[in-house]
Amino acid sequence: MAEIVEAPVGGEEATSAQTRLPFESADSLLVVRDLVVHFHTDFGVVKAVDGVSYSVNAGETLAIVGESGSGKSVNASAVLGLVPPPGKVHRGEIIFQGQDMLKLDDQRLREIRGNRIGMVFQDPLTSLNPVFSVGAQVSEAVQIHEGLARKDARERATELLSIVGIPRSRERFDDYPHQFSGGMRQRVMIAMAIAMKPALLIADEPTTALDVTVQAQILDLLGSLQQEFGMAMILITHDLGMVADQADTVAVMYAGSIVEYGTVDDIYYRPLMPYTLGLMASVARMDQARSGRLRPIRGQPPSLIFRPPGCPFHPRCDYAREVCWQEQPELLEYDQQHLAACHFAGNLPEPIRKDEP
Amino acid sequence: MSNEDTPRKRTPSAAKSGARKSPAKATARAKTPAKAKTPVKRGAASRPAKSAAPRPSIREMSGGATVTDPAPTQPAGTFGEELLRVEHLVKHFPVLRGIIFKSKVGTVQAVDDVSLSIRQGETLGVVGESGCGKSTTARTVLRLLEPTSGAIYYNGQDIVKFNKDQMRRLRREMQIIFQDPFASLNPRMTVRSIVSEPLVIHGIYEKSGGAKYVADLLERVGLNPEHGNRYPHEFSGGQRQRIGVARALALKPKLIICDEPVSALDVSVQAQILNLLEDLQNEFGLTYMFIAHDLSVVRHISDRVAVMYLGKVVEQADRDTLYERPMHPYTQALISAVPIPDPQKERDRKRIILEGDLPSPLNPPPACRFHTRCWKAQQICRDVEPPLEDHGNGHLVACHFAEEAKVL
Repeated sequence: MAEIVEAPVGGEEATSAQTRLPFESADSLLVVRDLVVHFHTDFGVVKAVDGVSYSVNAGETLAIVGESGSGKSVNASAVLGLVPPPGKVHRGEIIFQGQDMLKLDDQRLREIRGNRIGMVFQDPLTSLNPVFSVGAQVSEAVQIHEGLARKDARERATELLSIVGIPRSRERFDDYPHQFSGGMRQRVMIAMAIAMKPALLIADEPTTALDVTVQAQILDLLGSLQQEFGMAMILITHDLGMVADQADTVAVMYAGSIVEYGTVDDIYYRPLMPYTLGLMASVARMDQARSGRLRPIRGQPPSLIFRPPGCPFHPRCDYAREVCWQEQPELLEYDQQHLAACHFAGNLPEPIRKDEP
Repeated sequence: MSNEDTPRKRTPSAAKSGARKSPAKATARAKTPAKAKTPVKRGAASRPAKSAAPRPSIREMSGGATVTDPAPTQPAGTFGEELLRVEHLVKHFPVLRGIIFKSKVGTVQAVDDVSLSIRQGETLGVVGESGCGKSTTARTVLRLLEPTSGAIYYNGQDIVKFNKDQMRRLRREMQIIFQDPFASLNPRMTVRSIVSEPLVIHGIYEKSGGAKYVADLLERVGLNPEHGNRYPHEFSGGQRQRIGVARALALKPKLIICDEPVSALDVSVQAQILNLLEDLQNEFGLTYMFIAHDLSVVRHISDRVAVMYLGKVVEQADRDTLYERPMHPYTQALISAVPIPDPQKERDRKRIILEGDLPSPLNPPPACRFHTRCWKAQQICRDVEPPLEDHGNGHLVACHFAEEAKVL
């Protein structure tokens, strides 16, 4: 695990009295405000997360959607205090259950992580230690966080493994990760993540490495666990289908910023920002007869070192006008609880489309 | 099939076969001795396998005439004649143990009795989960892997019996695009040399137009020809995949096998590559075998779809029938497992959750291979393997209890 980067938190106490976020309420579990994470590399400063704000309410699912390199995973690791070096949290607040995570020491952070916030990563094989049996790894988690004795921990771990649907969990306790299939490994990861009935589960591409039928099993499991424990979830993914299925609110990330943020219905049925529009138009739909060619977004996602000036999406945008490369649009509320960072949100001009092969 | 409702714009078959008029290929075809002596016009015979017998030039071919033919007859339609036909293809990999004296301890039955056919200009999608044998099928069709048994007819000739020389000439006509655009491009070669390599290997670099031709190719796939002397690492994933496409196109093939060509790409870039593949198909009359695990992509690009499970084809139909009215429980579970990017639809949808994991192809379940995870399984499924039967209009299903269901 990466070390925790000490965060030079810029803000004074005044920042928490800032304007309330659109989905923020009294029972908001997690509030992230103006988070900035930079990676200082030999090639320049990678602005992986550049001023991101969002909130998660208890029991709800926030999906963070974006393409590779949009900063969605770094965002999550910042919440956990796990930004890998050379990354640094430069600014912002991460308020979890009333505490600013960026001001906590390692000890306190470790208590919250795993106890109150669980996490599931994309690749269950690299997340599990190959030289320890699966049972030992789950009971280690239980021992540390619950303070159970070895024998009790074994009992509890076995119970957890059966909760997440591992058949014959008692027999399989002493098996090693390589003896498990991908889906089973991911179940083991989930068992560890939910051991302490966390209030928040961060799932970073939890099913990307899995086959569809297994993905359905894992999503089903996450859904029922979420209901059972009243867990909130941050789901990080690029799969728009999975978001439609799981999310209550959606934040669309592009080049390190949130470009659109709203309820799942608003994002899918009333998108405001051309990038979201483009994403929706470029996915092939399984549920509809083919209606012609796909309408891809042209060009490539930008490098986070040389972020385009103004709106980061303007080089690929069909609607871009002069103002778009001159000024970066702010994420503003256009509709009730529906935010977009676009100069023309809700009022798009005529598209200027350049088709490319 | 379902030609009337195919919304995609297709040139009629006649125009399509006529479109293969490139002079380079014409000479290439004339040079192939097996073909030059082929007097049979393929168009007339719906079963090229049987018409192969009278060709005296290939003595091995006589065996082809006796092949009984269980694979489906496709109603003639907008597509040309059958270009590729795979019959009873089997590919087993031995599992060896020991260092010097290796002994066989098992067999991975990667592909077990697969029959498929693709017509000129058509796209056949092959879907399935990891380990179902879809990539092995593709590689065996190109004879990058030697089949354990079975026949592969390309233009009516059983290429399993081709010798090395014949095979090399044939490979001009069949190319492959791989999943990982980084691993499949040599990092030490410039883009220009990557794309011209197939031309050089086949000795037609100068004849095809050399540097000019390569530059045209690069431009055609959406790359700047001036970037020809750059190296693969200087390109993004989508652009690298374009290089792979240009390389596959260089020899003007007829059949391109696309092995998960967009799986490694971001959605917005995926759509670019899918459109490119479609445009090229329309322009050059290409035939695709499109292998993917993403069911949405497969519905978009395919004309017909075959679903594989543990080395077997369990269902095959034209794309709309397969998605709207799937009959095999596995296909139903597979389609129902894919979330649709539409929140309202998702809330109303019921999902079929399969029990358990994919069994190991090392020791697949007997009889129907899906019975261990199937909610319909009865004793007969454990005892008798269901044959791949036509349930009307070329909708092939291998299930004792095949039944239409709506799962979208």
